[in-house]
Amino acid sequence: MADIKFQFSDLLTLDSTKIVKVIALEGQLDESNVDDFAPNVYQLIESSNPGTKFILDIEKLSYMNSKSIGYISDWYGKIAAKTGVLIIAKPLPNIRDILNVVGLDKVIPITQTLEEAKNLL
Amino acid sequence: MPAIDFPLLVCIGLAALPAIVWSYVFLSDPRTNFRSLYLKVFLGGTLTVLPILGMQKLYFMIIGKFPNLDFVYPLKDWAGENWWIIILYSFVAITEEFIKFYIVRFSDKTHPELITNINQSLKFGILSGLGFAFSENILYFSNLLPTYLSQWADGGAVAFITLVLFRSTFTVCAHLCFSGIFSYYYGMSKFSQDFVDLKKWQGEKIAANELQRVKNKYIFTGLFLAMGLHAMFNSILELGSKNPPLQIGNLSINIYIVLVVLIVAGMFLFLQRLLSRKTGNLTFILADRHHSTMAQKDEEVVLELIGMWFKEGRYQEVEEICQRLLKRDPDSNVVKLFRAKTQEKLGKYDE
Repeated sequence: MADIKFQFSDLLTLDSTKIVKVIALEGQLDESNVDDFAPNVYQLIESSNPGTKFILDIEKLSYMNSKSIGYISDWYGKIAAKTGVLIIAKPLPNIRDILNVVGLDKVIPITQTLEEAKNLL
Repeated sequence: MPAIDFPLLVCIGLAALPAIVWSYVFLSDPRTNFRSLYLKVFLGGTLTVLPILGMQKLYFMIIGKFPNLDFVYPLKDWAGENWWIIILYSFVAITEEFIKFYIVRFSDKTHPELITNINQSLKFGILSGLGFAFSENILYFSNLLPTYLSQWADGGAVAFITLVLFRSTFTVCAHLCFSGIFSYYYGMSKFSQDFVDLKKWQGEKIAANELQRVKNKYIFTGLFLAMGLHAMFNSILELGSKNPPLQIGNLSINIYIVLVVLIVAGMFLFLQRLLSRKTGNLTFILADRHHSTMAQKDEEVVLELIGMWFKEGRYQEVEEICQRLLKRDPDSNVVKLFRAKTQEKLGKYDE
């Protein structure tokens, strides 16, 4: 079973009305663990207030399978339905390549740094 | 100098006419390449009557010397005339289709680079069928013309013209349809690996012998359909000439001819439908496949996603991903197949 570590945290911003949650992933998301991991994110989205902004920090994610991309697309749909925002930050070049070909960058902003992500919010 | 056999020349001309017209109908597409090769396949098809003729000659030669070895005519007493016709003409049909199939297979095995899409395979088959029909018509016309000429003024002319018209339209069309059907499936079998990949990326279980199984399935489906339809066509036509037409009041209907016309019309529409399919028009890359600007492992992730979303019916998204992926990997047969299937699902047949 591939190893996946995740951490959910709140990001402090200058604007106190903005609620930003960071989902940081480390390891690999594949068939062996993605279905176990995904419910955690769904739970986070469901428990968040409308308009909550999310940053998916995948700097330390070295591999993601097709199902993971499907989940990201689904999370985006659920967040958007609650008038929130999702940004993917710091993907490795190969993962960014996959996201570009899949076309996820057309609907979900992808940034190279956390600062860029914050500025977009 | 040998005398010119004018009746034979007339027969050749009459047989060539439908071959030219039908070639134009099916092969007039301006994108059609390899015209010289098509001509060779056509000529190969004209030779396929030889084994049948050879078998006939051999049979008559053997039973001429050893009448006790005749098993064909005793079969008539055993099975009854109608069944005898069905068995005999089915045997001829099966042999003819097998030989035509072999011509297409031989052309492909000697020049595998030439059939790069399914429709090209279909065109090869049509050409081999046309070649066969051309030769068969020459034999038919030249055998029957002397009889018709001897009674030309007493209905011979009308009978001969009727024969020429029927054979030039229905018989020729039927022959190219039989060959078209088996060669379409032959084309599918040639690109089986890509169809297996298509299933694999949709998450289906692939058995160890899946490739061979799929290849055999396509070849046998095509041959079975072509042989079956040809056997039916031959038998019905022959039964029609032996049995009286149906009388409804003053109206005399040859139900066998009606059936033959329906079979040919059905096959023609089926072929037109096959020709219009997106997957049929794909050009497959036969050589080393991976010329992608994307890492193979990453491309596999995208392919998995395409397969997953295709199964979920997210065709618009799949179409867009395929477009982008083909920019990165223009030679990927499986992406082309996914795109074609998606376009078919989206109803984009004519682009």
